Amino acid sequence: MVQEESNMKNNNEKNQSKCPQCNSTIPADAPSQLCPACVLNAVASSQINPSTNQNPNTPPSIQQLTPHFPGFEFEEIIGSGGMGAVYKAKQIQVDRTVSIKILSENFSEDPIFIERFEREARILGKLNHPNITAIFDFGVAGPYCYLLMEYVDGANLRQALETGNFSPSEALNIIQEICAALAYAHSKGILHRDIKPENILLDSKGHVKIADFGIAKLIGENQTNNITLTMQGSVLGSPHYMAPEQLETPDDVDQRADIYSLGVVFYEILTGELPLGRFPLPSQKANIDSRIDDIILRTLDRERQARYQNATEVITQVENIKNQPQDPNTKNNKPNSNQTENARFSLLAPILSGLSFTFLIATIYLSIALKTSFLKTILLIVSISLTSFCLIIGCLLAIRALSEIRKSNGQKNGTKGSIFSVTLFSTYITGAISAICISFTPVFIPIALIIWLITQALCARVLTRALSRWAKNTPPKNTEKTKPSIPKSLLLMLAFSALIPLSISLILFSVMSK
Amino acid sequence: MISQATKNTPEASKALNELCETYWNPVFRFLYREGRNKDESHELTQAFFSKILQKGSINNVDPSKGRFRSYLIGALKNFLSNQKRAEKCIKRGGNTVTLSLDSPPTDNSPELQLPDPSAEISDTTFDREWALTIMKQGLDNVKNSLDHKKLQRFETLKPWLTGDSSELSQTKAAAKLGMTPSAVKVAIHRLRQQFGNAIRQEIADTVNSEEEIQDELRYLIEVLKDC
Repeated sequence: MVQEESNMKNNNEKNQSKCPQCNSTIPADAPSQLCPACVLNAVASSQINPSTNQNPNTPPSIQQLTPHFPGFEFEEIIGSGGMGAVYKAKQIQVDRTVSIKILSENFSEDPIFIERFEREARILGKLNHPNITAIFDFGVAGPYCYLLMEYVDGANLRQALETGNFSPSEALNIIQEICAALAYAHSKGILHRDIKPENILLDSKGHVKIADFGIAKLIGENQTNNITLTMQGSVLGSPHYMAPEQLETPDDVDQRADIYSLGVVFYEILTGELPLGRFPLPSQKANIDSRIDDIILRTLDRERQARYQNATEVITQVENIKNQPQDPNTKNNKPNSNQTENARFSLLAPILSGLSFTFLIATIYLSIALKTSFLKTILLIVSISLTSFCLIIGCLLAIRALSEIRKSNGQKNGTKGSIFSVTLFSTYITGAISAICISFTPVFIPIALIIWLITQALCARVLTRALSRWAKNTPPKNTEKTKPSIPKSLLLMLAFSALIPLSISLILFSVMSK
Repeated sequence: MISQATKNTPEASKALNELCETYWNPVFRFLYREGRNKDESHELTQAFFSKILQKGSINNVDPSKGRFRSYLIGALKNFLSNQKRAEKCIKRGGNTVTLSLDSPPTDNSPELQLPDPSAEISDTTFDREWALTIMKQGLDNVKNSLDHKKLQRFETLKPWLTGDSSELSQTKAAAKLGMTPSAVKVAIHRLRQQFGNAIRQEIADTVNSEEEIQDELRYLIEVLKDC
């Protein structure tokens, strides 16, 4: 009553605060000074039973299950979906809380399924990692196939996301832990195949526990005939999180499919949205390090070859960002060149390459200017050796510098000089090949030379771009139509240097001689 | 709980007692807001509930129809008009000046300037008090289940019970509580879950079926928004 009366007094005072949610004035008699409409609204919009509405099969009730699990006291159903339902239960003998997953379909009549279920579950039971929910036991009880699992007292990522988006640093921590779990499981040859926020649990300390490792395969394989159908029909869940190849050829997936799903989750926990269509970059939506954009874009590449090839690579990138936080004010600029150092040999390499060019000129001059003599031979040998030496060493040092730049994730300087050395080297080689080819067609040297020059310039540009992308360790931009790779551009150069001048000259030669 | 309260058993009277105890406040505050002074409101509330509890007039309610809230407001209206009639009788019996209720508007007698409680009763005023009581009960239930340390955490995290509030920094809350921001998210989720269950339980006690809970909740939100 005392409180009641003081509330009444407050009611008459007009200094009332505003609700941050709906911006209306909070009535003074509101309990705990919370906006009553918003509080009840939040209750009304929260789910009563987690995800039961998505489930086409009604999960078995606790009363139905109890007779088949004598050692357990079922407490409540904590979730259900396409894979089955999960119950919180108490294992009476050891007095611990566990979760029991009952697989969605009644497979207990199918001996082939049972055999595979037991085989797979045995493998899953061996997964032992702090970021993976442990499987204690499995088996068949009455009509139910079940997995006895560690109970995680917390929330899943979807539920945590409902309280607000994750800050970049929180998201990085979570992604790092997910990757640690993925890297571990992938090293044991187990794919998750259904990474999504609902399967990523956070315990009360905020640490990640991934649930349902390999369960998608366990259920999916029994439905080989209509697996694509069931997956798209959302029985098995979550096409938005699936890699393109997982939807197109579900039988041919590897760890890179999990990497893709991870990218979707990463995008979603930062922005609260799914990366659909031409999605905006996270840094465009919030104050986020642009290097995170790069990671996400690369995990979400349609071509799995262009993604990170394993979870450890993602961990490395995430650690790089965590260790070298970017000033948010300069997030869209490249790092200040004053603050970063040059890669080793990145200056020496272009100097050597430049020298080789000088020696080449000298060689040509010597061979034309001097009369044939012993001295000329000696000088020529010396200058040719110097040219080759500078060229080869310059190229090797440049490759060394580029790989250092790649390791620093494009942070170190010296990319341009190093690329110059490598491109010059390949131009020399192809130039030599072209020279030999052209020498067979002495009639049309000028035409062949011009074509050679043009094609070389184009090829060198492609190679330069490929090298620069490799060095900065960035994925090709969506806007780029061609995604040049280094081997491809080298092959292109070779083809153009030798085949095109030769064939054109030959055609012209044969036409003219007729 | 209502259906329990309508039976003729010792448990029933206990259940009814509990219900009345909980909803003492909305009735009292409603009467107070109607323009009575505190003592009068208190007395009337007391009289109202003792009548309900003694006479068991709740037995006239069909438990398959209506909600406890509607029943209570109905009973209250009834009670007030009876009360008024009784007052009149006393006045008549006391042989004081007798005035007709049907007096023409030109009659400026003081009796008619007083508001007529039964006519002025607005359901929304009562329902608003009801909604606030439900909310308070929910919050109290959650608070009572927490130990001292968790109670402090509750005080820091309670603003998030209103929804996803971007103005408040979870990072700051995390620093204050010595938790990681992810752990704060988990704690907020669990708090919301616990509070949501408490509210639903609270409402479940006043309606007849599971399906009605959500409807009643929606109704109470509307009432709060209108006020």
